[in-house]
Amino acid sequence: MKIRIPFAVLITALFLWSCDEPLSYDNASFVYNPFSFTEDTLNNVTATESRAAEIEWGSHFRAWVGETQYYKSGFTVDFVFSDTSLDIAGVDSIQFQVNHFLTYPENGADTIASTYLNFGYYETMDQAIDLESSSYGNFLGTDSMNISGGSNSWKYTLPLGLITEGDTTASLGIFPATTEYLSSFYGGGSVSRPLLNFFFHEPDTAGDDSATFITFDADTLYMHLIEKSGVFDRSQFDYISQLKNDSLIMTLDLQGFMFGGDTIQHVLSSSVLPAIDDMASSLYSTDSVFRFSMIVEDPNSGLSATIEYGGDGYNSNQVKDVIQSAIDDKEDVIELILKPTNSGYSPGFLAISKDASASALYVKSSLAVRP
Amino acid sequence: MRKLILILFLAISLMGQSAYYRLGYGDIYPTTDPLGSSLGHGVVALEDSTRITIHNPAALSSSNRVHFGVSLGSEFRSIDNIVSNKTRLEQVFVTIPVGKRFGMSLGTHAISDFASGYESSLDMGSFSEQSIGGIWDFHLGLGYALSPSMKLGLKLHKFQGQIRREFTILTDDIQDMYVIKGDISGNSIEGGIISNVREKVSLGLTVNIPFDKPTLSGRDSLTGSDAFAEIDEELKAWPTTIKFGVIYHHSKNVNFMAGIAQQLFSESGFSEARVFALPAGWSTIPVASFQLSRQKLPTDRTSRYWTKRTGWQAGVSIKNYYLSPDNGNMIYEYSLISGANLALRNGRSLFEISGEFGSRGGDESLPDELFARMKFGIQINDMWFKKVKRR
Repeated sequence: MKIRIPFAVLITALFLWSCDEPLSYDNASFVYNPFSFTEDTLNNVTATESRAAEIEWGSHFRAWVGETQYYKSGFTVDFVFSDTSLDIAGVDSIQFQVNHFLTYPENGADTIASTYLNFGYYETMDQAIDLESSSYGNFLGTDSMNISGGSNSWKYTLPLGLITEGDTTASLGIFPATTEYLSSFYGGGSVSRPLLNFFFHEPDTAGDDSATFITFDADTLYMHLIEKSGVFDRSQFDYISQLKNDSLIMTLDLQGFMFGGDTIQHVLSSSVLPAIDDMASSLYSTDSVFRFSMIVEDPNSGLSATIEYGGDGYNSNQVKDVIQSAIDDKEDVIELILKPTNSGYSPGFLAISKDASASALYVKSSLAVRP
Repeated sequence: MRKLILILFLAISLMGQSAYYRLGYGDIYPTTDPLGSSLGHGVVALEDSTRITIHNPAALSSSNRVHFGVSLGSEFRSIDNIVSNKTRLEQVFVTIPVGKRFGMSLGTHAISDFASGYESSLDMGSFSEQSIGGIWDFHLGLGYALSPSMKLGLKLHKFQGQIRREFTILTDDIQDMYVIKGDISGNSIEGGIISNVREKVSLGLTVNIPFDKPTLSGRDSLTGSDAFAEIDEELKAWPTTIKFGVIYHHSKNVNFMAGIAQQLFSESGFSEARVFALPAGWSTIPVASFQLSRQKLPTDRTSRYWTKRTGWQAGVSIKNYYLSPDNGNMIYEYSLISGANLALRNGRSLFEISGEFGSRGGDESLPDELFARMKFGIQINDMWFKKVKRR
């Protein structure tokens, strides 16, 4: 039989073309199955450590005034006129203006019952501020301010003669005159920080009298904040508060999750689950959802994730990259630092049990080869 | 013609792709050209002045011509009547005589294939894995004829390869794809000797020792994110290979060959492997490979009749697989090996074909499979690079 070359080539081509693509086997085809999933929540937090730190309020965007069952707060501001050409002698009147951002009720579950609240204004030059004894300086007066809305200006006219020609500095403070509220203001780091309005009596272009004013921004802001005694039970809980820069260091043992040595482990999802006591915590929100946002950071890798705790549990809690990195680096133990994401922006706090074994880590991972 | 079509039809319904590629270092190819595939490891004792064999560097001094060779391999596998094929370039080489006693070679051939696909459905979700890649061996050999009956050789091998493995993981709430990709490189040195015992018997031995075992350098990354992990994994189990061949020259045109090879894998070589990990309980075992074959040389390489210019060989092969499951079952590979070659009348071109038909299996955790490995090769030679003396 004589087979011509083109015909043989054609047959060969058809032969190869008719073959299937390489098979993709599955575990129904045969017993061998390399893969597996693991999923576990282990109470493998071996230690917790709380570290206290204050917010740099002088440069923060918020400042707080008010009193609740948890906190008492107010702030003072310094104005320095020495290097200005301000004509204080020609001033008709001076207003102390603070820009109100939002007022919060006693706790996140409460509602604001009032539309107006009284606040106390003080001259605080060289005065010792003691919140415990409500000693705030030289009392100037109280004023009723609108707290029902947000982002409105409060203007308090200073008594005549408080700031006179030749004064180089002035210190003023605003402190709570009522309880059950905490009001936030645009703080020392904001362009809308507290200021003075200097009013002058000058004729306008028509020759009639016309009040004009010059604004003078505060130079320095000092926050005064205390926790009420007896309400924060630090014998049972560590606290992460939005009004502080406190952090909680959790030491986690990863050995229960790690399958090192003979497989590739991919962390599909992971959640850090500190033992938060809802009843001992206070969550706030600007809308209908109460949330507390935290940064979870692994100082070793520098990786971090943001998790969000709500009234009914976690709204988001994904630290898979942090845990994956630790597993890739073959870390048996890692430390995670939990601290508030938006410190200074709400009066909420979380109470986390000091019993480390009550906290946990959840990891769901896949294994490329079943170990 | 009808018979040919029938054979092809049957072949199509019987061939398929290997599931063994997913395990360890995939399939490791000890020989990759038509001659080696059809003679077995006895080829390491073979030297031929009219053609070149590069299986033993000691044979490089046997020809005074420049030889260039290329071969293609086509592998068919059958599992559950599902057919697949893989055809690829398997070897390219050139050999050059250096003086009367030396010969050198330069070439490359495929030695390992990772291509595989696998899907796994579990309670929590499903996996899908696709792997591509393999390892090529780039080699530089030198042969020296110590005497007409004793030849020595040395060959340096540089392993170069790549792998890309994609894991797609699906659960109720997660759809992730991880990609492992990286380069593999390593080195080995091979020594060879061919000795003729009187006129009837030739002995050949090669020992290939990976002094710098292949190492994978790459990363494991999650697609759609910046997350990745560096991977630096030495293929610690990469084997040392010893081949021993005996040829009995029965007559001028007939040889009988026996070949035995041993591949020694480190028992703990996979213990820390992650990418090339083995399932629980699986382990490496030494590979013993044995072939018997008969070679019929061409009667007259310059004859006007193609039948006289044709040589052929056939034999049997048995070897065990280098991995063993936890139950201790050995996985064996049995095959019939055969091949033929046809030289053109000018003696400068040689066409080769080989076929290896066999089966592999022995453990219920992996499917039994039938395979056919077809190889096609061409060798051409000339007096290149040699000064012609003119009177």
